[in-house]
Amino acid sequence: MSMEAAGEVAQRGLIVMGWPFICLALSKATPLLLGALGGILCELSGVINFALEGMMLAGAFGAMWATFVFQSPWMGILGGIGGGMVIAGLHAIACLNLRANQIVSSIALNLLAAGTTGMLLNQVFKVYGTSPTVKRLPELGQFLSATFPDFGVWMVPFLGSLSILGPAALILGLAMLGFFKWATWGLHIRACGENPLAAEAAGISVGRTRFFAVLMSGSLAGLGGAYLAVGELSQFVEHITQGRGYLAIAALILGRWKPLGVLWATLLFGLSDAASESLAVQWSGMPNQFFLALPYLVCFAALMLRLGKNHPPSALGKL
Amino acid sequence: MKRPLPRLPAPIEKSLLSLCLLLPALAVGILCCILLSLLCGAQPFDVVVTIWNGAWGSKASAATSLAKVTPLLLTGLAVALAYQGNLLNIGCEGQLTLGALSAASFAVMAAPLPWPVLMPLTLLIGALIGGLWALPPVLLRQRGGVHEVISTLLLNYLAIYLAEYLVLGPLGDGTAMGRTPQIPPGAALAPLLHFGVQGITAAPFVALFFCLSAQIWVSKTVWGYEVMATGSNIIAARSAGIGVERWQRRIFVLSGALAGLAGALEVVAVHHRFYRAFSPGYGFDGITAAFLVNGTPGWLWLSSLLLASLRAADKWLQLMIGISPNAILLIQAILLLCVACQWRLPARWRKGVSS
Amino acid sequence: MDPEPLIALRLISKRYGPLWANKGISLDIHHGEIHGIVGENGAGKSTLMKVLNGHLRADSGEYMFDGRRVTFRHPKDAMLAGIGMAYQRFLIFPQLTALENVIVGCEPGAFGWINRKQARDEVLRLCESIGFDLSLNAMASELSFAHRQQIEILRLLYRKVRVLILDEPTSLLSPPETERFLELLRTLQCTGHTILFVTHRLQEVFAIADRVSVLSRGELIGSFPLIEITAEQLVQLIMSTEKPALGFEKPPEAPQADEGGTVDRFFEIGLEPGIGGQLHSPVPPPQINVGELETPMLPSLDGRGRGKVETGDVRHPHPTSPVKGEEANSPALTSPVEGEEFSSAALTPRMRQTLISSSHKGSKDVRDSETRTVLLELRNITTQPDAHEAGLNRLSLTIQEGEVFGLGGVVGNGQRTMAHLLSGMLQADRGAVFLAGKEITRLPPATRMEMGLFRLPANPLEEALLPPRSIMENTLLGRQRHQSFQHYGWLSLEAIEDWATEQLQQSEIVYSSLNDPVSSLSGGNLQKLALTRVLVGSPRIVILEQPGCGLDIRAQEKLRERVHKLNASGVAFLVISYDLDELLALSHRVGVLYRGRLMGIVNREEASLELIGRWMLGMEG
Repeated sequence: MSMEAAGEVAQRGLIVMGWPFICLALSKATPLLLGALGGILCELSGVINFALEGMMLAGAFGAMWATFVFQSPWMGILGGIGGGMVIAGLHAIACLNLRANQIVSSIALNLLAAGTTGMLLNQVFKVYGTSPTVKRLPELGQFLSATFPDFGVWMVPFLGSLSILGPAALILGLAMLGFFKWATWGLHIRACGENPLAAEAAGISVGRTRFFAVLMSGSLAGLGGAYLAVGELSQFVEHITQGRGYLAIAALILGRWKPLGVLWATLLFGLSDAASESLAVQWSGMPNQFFLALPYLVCFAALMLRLGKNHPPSALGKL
Repeated sequence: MKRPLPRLPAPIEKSLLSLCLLLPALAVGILCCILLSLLCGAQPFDVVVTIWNGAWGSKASAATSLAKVTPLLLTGLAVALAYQGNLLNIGCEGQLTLGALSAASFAVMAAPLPWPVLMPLTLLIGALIGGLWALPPVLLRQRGGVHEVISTLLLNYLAIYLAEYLVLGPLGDGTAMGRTPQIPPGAALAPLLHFGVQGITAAPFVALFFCLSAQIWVSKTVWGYEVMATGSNIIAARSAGIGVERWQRRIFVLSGALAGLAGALEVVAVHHRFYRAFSPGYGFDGITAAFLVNGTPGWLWLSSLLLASLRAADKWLQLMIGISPNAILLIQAILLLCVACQWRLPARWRKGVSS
Repeated sequence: MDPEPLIALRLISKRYGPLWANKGISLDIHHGEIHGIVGENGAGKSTLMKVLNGHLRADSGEYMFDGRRVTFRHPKDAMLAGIGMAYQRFLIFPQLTALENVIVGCEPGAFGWINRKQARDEVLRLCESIGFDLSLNAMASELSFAHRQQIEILRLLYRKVRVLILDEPTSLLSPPETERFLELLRTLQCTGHTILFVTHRLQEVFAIADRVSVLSRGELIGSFPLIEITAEQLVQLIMSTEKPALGFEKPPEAPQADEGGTVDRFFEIGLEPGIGGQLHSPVPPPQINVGELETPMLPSLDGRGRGKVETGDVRHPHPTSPVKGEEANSPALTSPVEGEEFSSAALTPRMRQTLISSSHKGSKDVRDSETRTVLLELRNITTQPDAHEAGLNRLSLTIQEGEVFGLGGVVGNGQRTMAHLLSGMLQADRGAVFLAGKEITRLPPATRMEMGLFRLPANPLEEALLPPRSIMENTLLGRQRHQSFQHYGWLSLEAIEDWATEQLQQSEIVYSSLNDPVSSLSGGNLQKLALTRVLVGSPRIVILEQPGCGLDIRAQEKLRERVHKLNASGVAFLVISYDLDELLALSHRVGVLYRGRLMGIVNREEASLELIGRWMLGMEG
């Protein structure tokens, strides 16, 4: 059997198993995953983070802007990270140095991001609502076929339009698992979120650790936003995040503040999002809004079903 | 104990004090806004004047701004009251939307009723639905420990989608415009004064009345005291015999009802129907309004006026100075952030102020 | 022992505003010795320990370690030099494993990676060498206090400290755990460590220390080898001052110099312990513990206030010589006796028993279970356990009118459940509770309070008061529905204000304005306020949880006096405490809970530490 024939059989098998659907789910889950991973970092260090929405929005704008300026989506990734970090930096200063009410600060920052991105869009690009189109990140299929020409070719069709950030997000998730288990810094972050006084006594600089944890969380969330702007679409649209930041927080809670749990929770949301798209085609009788609302419904239901004690970090929200 | 000097009535004085403590924060916020406007190439003074002109410059615009104050007062009150019980109601947007939709639909369906019955009932239905929409989050929190911020946020989205579906379908006016039929005149609130398109109705004053009553309720009644105790220290309140779970539910449902009422009042007084994307963010503005005055219902009128002015003037700002309307959001965010940071006077000064 | 001390402090002073927490202390610690630090609460012991461990910097004086002058800017510096401290309130990370708890801050490995295998091996090795049975994979929140203590010690040993400073190490341990702990200290001494420990339990000092230093009012009274001093002399030195000047009371704004409310609050991270204990109820400051030479409960015996112990006057009918005689013969002072489980405690109970039996002649007590009416009865109560506290298990108990019943046991064995059950915050699965004959099992807290059943929780600021609110609002809590304060829901603020002023005055609570936040009151005043609120309701029985918690000695005394007075006027008490001495001092009868079962009840006169200790461990007496 030749390579091509084997490839064809494999392709058909995977399609039957719903592989394209899974890829779609993964691409829907990617921004949520990145956002939630950022949220984990922040909350495990003891700082409440409801500002993921704002961080993602800022990241999306930053990604679009950087791509526009440098004409390269890879720079866009950096721009996204930067955008998220700006919002995270403000959150860190407000909560750690100025001892703000962490939830109110988060809400304010969401507003700030919405206002700033809108304003910059109007002032800098002189447009309203939608930015000019920019280059997009390569899809995974394209990337693989470019790097491994023989084998990538038959993978392309059924990887769909899964961006390269999709598997990157998965890898980041697993990396975070390892980070918290094997890295010194990971242990320090968790210690700060459990008992900051004990952490200080053990010689950890709690303020510094938390600050960096918040910044890193912003970078991850910004990366999630970057995916939205240059991974999925190729432009920035006002309110591009559409509440994904809040879904990410819900995923964080459902996943019990553990990277693996969050992986499953975001995949669940991604699946429901993907399902709503495919089902919309099949069940054309149902109203459109039902499918739009499906991910939120699933999220709500999941929250309701996982009743019972959550175990957030012991010192979450306490300084 | 020192002999007290002659002073204002105690409740006003106490809330004046809490407001004073916010002044440093607001000052910093205003400073940031000034810097921002300079960055955008506009003179800060011009910005303020433009906002004033845009919001209150002409009789017509004044009427519009005043109309915008109403929902802000009520959603702000909703958030502030929930905060008394240490709960955060972020779901005003959804509660308002559903309240508005149900009010409009009810008014249309119950058109034959005479107006003394129809209008209050319409408002009541709106409040009821809003209250019901607030029930699941508080129950989830009590039974399952799920933070109400997340559940109310999710319900916001669900409410908006539900309303959209209903208004495009069964409750709509048959066209594809995505709106309900116009409510009968019996349900509408007639303007007291006619300025421009809308005129001034009694709605803002009704809302103001609610706010002031709420302030009195919180500070001078037993039930307000018990809610306050529940919000301060739930364990102590429980051991002191206060039914904390019941109070949490009551206050959160009341909060939702107020947001629903805001929506109903908007339908009845301003738009006379419900349509898609009904709320331009009144729910979230309510959060800002509440926190800008530290959750004190009695001072909500100040922050609501400010926010309404900002909202009313955003297009004018763009027209006159060329600043994007999103700048308004930014100003709001800066003010809120500064207040959240609780910039404080040093302790000694605070004691001096309080004596 | 080396002539050159390992640690030499010269004229160490530390002040907080007008308060001298440590004043001109010059102290020597020799190589390889076990050195006890004793003194009243507020004497400056904790401050001194913190200076030693680098947590605080002295304002003046010299700190010589190993012959060299040192200045520690952070406990980490001291740790590097070889000095480590285990704080009284365990610094535990609840959701990290025991292993992680030990190695945080000092993880083996390179380039930011933790070599878990190496860490595990090393910690296991340490455990084996000193006989710890800690399971390294367990989550810290589920461990008992004894195990948490092991984590603290392991942390120090893992960092290879030579000098261990222990602050009240045995305060949360049961007697047998204490014994094991003292054995551990002996082992550590044998391996060349130097140990300083702060304690209130003099029998421990006499059991294992080589030398003891006495602090009082910030000054060092002296350091003595144990063989040269007797128990009474020691107590006398500890309390050798008259009542301190009022200036020593903590002024409202200044940081608390020593143990007490503020420090405890710092260390609370809302830890919920495993069946082992409740960490966020602060540890009750233990008692000076040699035969209760000065019992505030007995005004009839001695009209003098505390502190006037004269030489030779041991405050009990027996002359001093038998005590000295006991001392000379007591095996506890010289070497541990094989097989004797509670040898170190031998000194106290006999003295205490004689004292107690004599003290109670003349006070109206000695409750005869047949003659008094039953006020509170629990019949066959069973409740669910939760993650951190044992549920009650077919518990039956009666408390008589006007008696003080003490409930003891190791933390986490159902005491808190009992308190919650009786106050109405928790429902029983089975069984019934009766108050004066009426069943109250399903009644809510408010009704129980109307019937005269009240509860005073351990940490009033956390559990009974509203911290950000004013004193007036706090005084009203619980009485807000009373008809004199409200009229159809409308609060009568003037009436409330007058009443609050009167109540606060009667209870001698010091405050500056009714509108001040209640958190501005001192720990003692907070307790008084909480108690005042309870008393206003004309209680018939009050559940007191850890009454001495967070209070300094004077405030505790005052509280005890008040309890005694109330008891004399007919109010019954159920005292829940983890401090046996407090229980035995206050109660007429004492019962011990173990895993939710009542192991036994004994009259105070017949109580002995052995018996109670056995019950605390679940062994039949």
